[in-house]
Amino acid sequence: MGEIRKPVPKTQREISISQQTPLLDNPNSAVLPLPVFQNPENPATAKIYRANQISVKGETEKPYTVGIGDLDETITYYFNNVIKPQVYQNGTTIPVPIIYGNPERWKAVQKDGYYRDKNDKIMCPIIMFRRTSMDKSYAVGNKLDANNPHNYAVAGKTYQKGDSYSNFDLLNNRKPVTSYQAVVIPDYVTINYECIIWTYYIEQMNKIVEGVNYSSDSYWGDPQRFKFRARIDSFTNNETLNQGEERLIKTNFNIKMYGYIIPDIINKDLVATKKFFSKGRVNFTTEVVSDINNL
Amino acid sequence: MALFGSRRDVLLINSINRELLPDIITQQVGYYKVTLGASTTNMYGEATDKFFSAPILFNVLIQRGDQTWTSDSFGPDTGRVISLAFFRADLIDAEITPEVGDIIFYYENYYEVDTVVDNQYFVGKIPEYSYSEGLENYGSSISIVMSAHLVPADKLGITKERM
Repeated sequence: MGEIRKPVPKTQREISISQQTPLLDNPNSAVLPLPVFQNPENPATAKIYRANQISVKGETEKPYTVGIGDLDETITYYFNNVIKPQVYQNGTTIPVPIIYGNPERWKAVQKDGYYRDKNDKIMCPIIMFRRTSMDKSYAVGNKLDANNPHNYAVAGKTYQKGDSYSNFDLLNNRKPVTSYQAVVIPDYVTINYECIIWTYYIEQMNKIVEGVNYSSDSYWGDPQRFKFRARIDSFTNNETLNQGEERLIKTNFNIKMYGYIIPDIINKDLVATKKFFSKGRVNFTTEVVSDINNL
Repeated sequence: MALFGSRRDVLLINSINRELLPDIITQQVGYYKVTLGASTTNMYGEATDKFFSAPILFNVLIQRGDQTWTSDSFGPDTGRVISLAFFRADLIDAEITPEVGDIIFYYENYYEVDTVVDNQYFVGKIPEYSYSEGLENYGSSISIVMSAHLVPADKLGITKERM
């Protein structure tokens, strides 16, 4: 009868290694497998050039990213902080809340109580907006290829600790090195929003529409963040009085937001240059060949 | 001259209703009339500041419709339609002429009157339109039935609804 052995659990490293699969079919092949980040089968990682992958550790600026949510927030910001629509009703001035359309039911009814009465009936005035479509704009610029971006916006940075320059550098014909931050040329887009203003009275509606119309064709957004040009072409009035229902005063309009997107995604981080340095010194060397055909 | 529905019969019906509504059924609502002189309107036929007369308490018969829910871009929204039968004699005593647009207060909610129906005639006639001699003391309009829909409470400004 064999000896009873206590099972020895694998270490974390042994478990990790057992999960790894070689890139090549034959694990005994003499050809060294390529590192994962240079997988030629994957277009996002096929053209990784390690020299461009300069660490951004210690940088105070985060890589620029502008998402669709940032564009959406510009509308909320501009309505709440710049246009500040308000109406006069029953002797008081009421600020008009703005909401994003089609919220979850629990949020609309239970959390957004500020625009509902105790029966959960919506109290007017209120403004709703929602994104309806996004069109790509090729006229402004393009990064050319997502797998290997060619166009960058470059910004030189002020002096940093790593850019030190001394007389010793001067003796060695070195020039001061400047670091640059590179950002992929964004995807320029035109985002369309549908907005509905809902009030009890036409008189209130007039004031809100006047304020929104005045703000058309200007740059909307938080000055500390991003601003995008918004354009409003027309307003459609809709007044209904149905039996057994409240009188509805609604105005629809569409906002065209000319914006751009710099996504925060892995394939951009792998391939795109984020930081580079100016050349401190350029060396030319001579190589001699005995036969020009060997070049 | 008619055989039934004389003044005496009408008084009997009225006395039964006067006991039935306030002492047995006891469904009560408040009735607001818009003060026309104070509620100035703009060119769109609307008044952002409305004024109402003091509410009058009535005993009525109420048919409550279910709360209805609709959902659109603004999120879920609720509505409700109720039907109220007023005893006409009570309205006459209170000097209230029910009209479309009046406000009814019922269980902390406000309803705006959509329809006013005066069509429940005792023995099918009313004395105001007696085309033959002797009919002026026969028949009576017993009730006035109104349908009303739920109004957002803040619109009226009767009570403070917004924080």
